[in-house]
Amino acid sequence: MTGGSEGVCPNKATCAMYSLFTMAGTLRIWQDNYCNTAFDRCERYKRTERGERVPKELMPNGKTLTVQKK
Amino acid sequence: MTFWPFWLGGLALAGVAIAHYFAFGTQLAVSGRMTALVNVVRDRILLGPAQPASDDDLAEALRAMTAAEFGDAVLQSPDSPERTQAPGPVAAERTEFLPYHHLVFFGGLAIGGFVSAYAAGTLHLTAVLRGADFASLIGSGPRAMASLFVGGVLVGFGTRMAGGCTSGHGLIGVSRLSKASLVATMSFFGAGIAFSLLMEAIR
Repeated sequence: MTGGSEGVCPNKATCAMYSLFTMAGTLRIWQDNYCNTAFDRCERYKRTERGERVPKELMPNGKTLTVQKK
Repeated sequence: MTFWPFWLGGLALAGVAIAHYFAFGTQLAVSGRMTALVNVVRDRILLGPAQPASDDDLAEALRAMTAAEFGDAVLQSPDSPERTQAPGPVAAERTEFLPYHHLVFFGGLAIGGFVSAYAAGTLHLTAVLRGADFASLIGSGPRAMASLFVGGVLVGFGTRMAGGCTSGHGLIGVSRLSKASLVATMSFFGAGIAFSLLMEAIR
């Protein structure tokens, strides 16, 4: 949905990125700024609503998370 | 050419869109399915299977992205204890489409077109679109083929740039009162009408 939705994202139970934000306290800012408030701004939510595939590495801001393996 | 009643086509499209939602829990997406197929080719064939990253590597990448998005100060917040733990549980996806699902869908589109044309008595092979109209405006032979190719590329590019195709924005987005879809639909219908009038005027 577009146009100023408020509240908790209905997709959080199935969102792989939402669960990653529980890994550390500093990451909760993503939930505070997207998942639990303005989820209609989240790129993952938008793609899900459009029926598109959501890459696991896609962040709410639309950028792709690149993991450097050690 | 004789067309089927417009209201019958509208009802059929609405029925498909509604049935798709109740069957799969997601909205109908035609260009989205094509994108998904392209992504499968890119991710699984061209790039190969991905190796899973460790939780520590994942947390570090997330911290870097967090700092870039919200500033370094967020990482030093005393209210945010930095203790890496395993990710929380994730429920099953609503619907995980597989590549063959998309292929079946596109096959259905083609079969539906054949059946419709056959039932209307208009099924026949042709080298040009809409007979004399297309040929008089664009030409024929290699010029027509080049026009169709360029037009197809522009449609594909515009679809990705707009985040959806005519059915996605015009059928699904507008019915959900999406502002973006309303703008997109007005744009491509307006451009289509304007260009048609222009071509009629110069023909």
